[in-house]
Amino acid sequence: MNFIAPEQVVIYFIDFLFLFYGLYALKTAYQMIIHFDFHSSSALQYSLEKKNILVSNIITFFIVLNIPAFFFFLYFIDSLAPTVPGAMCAVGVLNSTPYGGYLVILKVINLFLLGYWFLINRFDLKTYGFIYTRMKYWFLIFIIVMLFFEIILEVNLFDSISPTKIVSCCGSVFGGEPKFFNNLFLDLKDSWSVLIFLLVFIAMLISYIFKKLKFYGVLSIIFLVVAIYSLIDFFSTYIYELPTHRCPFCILQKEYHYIGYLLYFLLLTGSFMGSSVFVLNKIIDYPTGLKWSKISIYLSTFYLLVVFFYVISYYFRTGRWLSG
Amino acid sequence: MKIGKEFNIFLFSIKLLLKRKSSYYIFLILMVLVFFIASASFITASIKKELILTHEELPDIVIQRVIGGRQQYIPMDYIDKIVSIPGIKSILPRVWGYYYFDYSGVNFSIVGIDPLEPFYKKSLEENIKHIKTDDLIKRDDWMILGNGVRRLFSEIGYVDYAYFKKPNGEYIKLRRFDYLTQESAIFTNDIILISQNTARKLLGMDDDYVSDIVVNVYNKNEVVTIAAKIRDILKDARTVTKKDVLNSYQNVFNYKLGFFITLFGVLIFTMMVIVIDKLGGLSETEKLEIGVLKATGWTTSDVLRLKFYESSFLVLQAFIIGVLLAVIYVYILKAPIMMNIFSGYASLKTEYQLIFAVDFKTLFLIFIAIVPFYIAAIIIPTYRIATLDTYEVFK
Repeated sequence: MNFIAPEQVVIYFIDFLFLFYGLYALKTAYQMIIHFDFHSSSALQYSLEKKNILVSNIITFFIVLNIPAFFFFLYFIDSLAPTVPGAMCAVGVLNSTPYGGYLVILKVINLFLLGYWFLINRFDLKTYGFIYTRMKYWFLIFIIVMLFFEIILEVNLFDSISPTKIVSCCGSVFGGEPKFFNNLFLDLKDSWSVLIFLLVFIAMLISYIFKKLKFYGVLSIIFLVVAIYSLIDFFSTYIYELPTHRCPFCILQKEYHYIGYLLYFLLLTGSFMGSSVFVLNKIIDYPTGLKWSKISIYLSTFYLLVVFFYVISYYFRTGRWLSG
Repeated sequence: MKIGKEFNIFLFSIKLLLKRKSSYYIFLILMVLVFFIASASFITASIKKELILTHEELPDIVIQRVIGGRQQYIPMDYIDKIVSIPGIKSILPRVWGYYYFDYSGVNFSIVGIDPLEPFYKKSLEENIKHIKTDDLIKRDDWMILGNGVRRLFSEIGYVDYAYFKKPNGEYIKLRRFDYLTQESAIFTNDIILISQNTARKLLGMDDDYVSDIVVNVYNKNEVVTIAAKIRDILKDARTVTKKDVLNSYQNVFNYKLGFFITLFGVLIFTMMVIVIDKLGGLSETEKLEIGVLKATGWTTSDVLRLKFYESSFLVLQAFIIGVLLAVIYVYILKAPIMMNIFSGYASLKTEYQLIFAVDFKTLFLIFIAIVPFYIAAIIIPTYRIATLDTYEVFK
């Protein structure tokens, strides 16, 4: 096992916790799917209903742990940059192995999935007869498998980070060379990404005004992808005030007042609330959906204002646009 | 209104907590754990900070001659070959090496200096500023001792004179001239400064040879390119840049801290076992408490919240007090015992200054190394407590 830094040990310990409780939850999920029957009055059913509470506690713990662990991971990868030649921020480190990009995306997906499960569970416990229990546990099995994948990827990532191999820094990864991150997104150039970003946002706004909640939910997932792409392609250059610097990770650093943490918080929470309107549309009632989409549209609008603030303030200070 | 209810549950939970004896044990265990991990991290953080502060002085490039994996002495005419590379600010030959002192089984660093030539290292120059160079030029048999060497020599009675063995078995006698000052002991602890001629004799080196060559450049961005050019001209040379040195230092200390945390991983699991044991074996009074609460209309989730408040209060208290104790231990008491793990293994141990270096990142590392594990350890016991039946309790 490749050993790089003490933080890695802590991350492995946390992974071990996920593994342990994940296995326990898997076992319970299996029992639930096989035996759960609300109308039975056996001792088994009684203990299963108790275990329902336990599993929902475990998943709450997972969420509460996963959010700081995610940021801890990002900070750790960022702090490795000086030891990997050529890397100036997290991108270089992530890109030095084939797993990095997928791992970050998988981590975000897992956070979203855990959040959906948490919401489903809350509604399930409120219903008479726990009608969503079986579905909930099928979904849980899927989530646990995804978490295990995440752990496998993480171990592989740490194993293959090498302090001797030279990697590309973020400037060259996002600057046009055909690399992993570029293959992943559509290869749009210039300001097309901003236009699409704005179009999606306007569509979101319209569907919110006309209360098409299901449509709104789908749009907010698209919004997340488009927003991150336009952040890399267009807005980050204004944050760095450098036409060639395109990077979604350097904004997390001190030089830019840690603005990235605010941006990602707004974006992720906003699109999470929005997309759960779509994912849970069979379960939630109309007023809840309305409330969530309201929160979501506020957060997304705030995000939009913050990123455009950088562009406009740059224009006012210098009297010109960056074109790169 | 709802917040008021939550706050009342919180206050009530603290009241219950203070009544129970086991909570004090758990608090003590947690605090000790936080204390150990925090002290280790603080020591590493401040050593790293000291290294980064002092690394400014390291030369940009060191040229070594390596044949068959062994470092060899470099002929002086190598300097003439690379002197025409553009961008080089200065080239200084160094005469230095290790001297094995078999009486105590330690290695000294012998550094040969020419009092008339500039120094390759500023801090060393500062260190001997108070020494008059005139006296040094007149004779050859002087030595200037670093602090660790001074202590060792005074133990064995080498106060004014010391004897050194040449490679051919002859001894030479050197007169103690002065000591180095205490500052930045991390680099000068085991150093003996002697004249270049004497150093050559002790190290078995011919007159037109040096140990390695130090190159400084004007533009720091060109270091890699210039190093490559040097390797191109001098076929048997290896170049070590400032960044290489710093990285290897950092890796060493990271490794030591990692070793420490791994050890304490074992302790963390011990703690988990203890906590589960303490909470799992419910006492009669505790059972009665829960029973009464449930009988008076508390739901399972209320009891869960109560227990959650209890343990988060406990672990946060332990975290804060443990970190404070560690700050006192490391920065005020200068980490008496634990420091030995981090400084070297030889009997000439380096003394570090322990610069104050507590930042958010270190605290976050300690937090995430302790708190999740405690919470994880209490999930199942808490659930067992919360789902107790009133009926069973009162039976």
